[in-house]
Amino acid sequence: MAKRLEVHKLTLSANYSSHLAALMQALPRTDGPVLELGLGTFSTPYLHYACLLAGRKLVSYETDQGWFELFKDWQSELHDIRLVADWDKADFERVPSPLVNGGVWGVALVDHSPHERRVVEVARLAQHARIIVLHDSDEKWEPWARYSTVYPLFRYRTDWDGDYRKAVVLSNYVDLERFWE
Amino acid sequence: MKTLHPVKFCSHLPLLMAVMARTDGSVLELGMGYGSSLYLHWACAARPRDIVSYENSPEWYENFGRHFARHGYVWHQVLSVDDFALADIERPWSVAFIDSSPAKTRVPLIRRLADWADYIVIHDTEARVESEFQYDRIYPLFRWRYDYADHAPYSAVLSNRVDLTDFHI
Repeated sequence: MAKRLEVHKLTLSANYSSHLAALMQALPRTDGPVLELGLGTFSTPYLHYACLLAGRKLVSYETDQGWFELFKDWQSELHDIRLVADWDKADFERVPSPLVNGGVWGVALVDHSPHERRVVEVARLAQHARIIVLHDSDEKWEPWARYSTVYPLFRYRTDWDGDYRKAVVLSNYVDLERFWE
Repeated sequence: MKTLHPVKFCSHLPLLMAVMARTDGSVLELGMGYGSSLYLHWACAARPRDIVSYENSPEWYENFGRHFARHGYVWHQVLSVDDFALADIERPWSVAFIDSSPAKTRVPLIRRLADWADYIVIHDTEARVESEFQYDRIYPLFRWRYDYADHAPYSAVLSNRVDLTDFHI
């Protein structure tokens, strides 16, 4: 019986880290601010420290008070953690440094709840982020996640299927043909 | 069920990221955890570069070993040992991360790796827990050392092979 570990009433699993592979490829391929929609046990520490080391601005949005409480002490000049009442209130179309990086996010991670809401934010971000990493793109979730409805909004797409939980990388700015090399 | 705080179990990440970015060779992890193992696993996948993780807890070994084996991640070898003294670690490593339990296992492991690893990253280096870990016993074995104390538990990098004078994060 494996040891069960819990963060914010969520039993941790290595499966939840599978989007790190895409994030680790995306960050070095871009400059400028990074956006995280939905705080997470694996993505937030990685993005926090990766952006700290690179001197990049990170903005994280969350609607859940519990997740916000977990990470609020990480607020810093480089990491802005914002609690919003609902995702419509997340005004991420306003990029922190509009004169840098063409006024778009370098990378945006879309991993928030509810799952079926993610396509709304992906559509909003289509022209506002150089690379979008969208977690949990497994076909079994497609009936309600409906990721396929936003794929036509992007010129480039590559899939991460190296783990149980899949991710998809989308862009209108960066050719992703050699993204995994 | 044990409850963790991610801010605390990830405080070694900035040092790990910094040394991983400076190297491209094999990686050793002694003592697995959600903060280090998954970052190192995916960081090594990108290159790819070999990583070997040793774990003495059957529960942790099952947790990570089973997951990685199921997906056929050939670059990451997860090995179970009853006692870290039995871990076969005397060979060159670019990065060695030492976060083993119990605390008393760390000093002997660091001593064994002192001339084998380019960078040795150690965790829990604050003075408050020095009586538990006794790192003062192995600091004199190293020519260079960099302490990172921005987030507790603190961490440090040790080396006899790489000059850390200009190392800074």
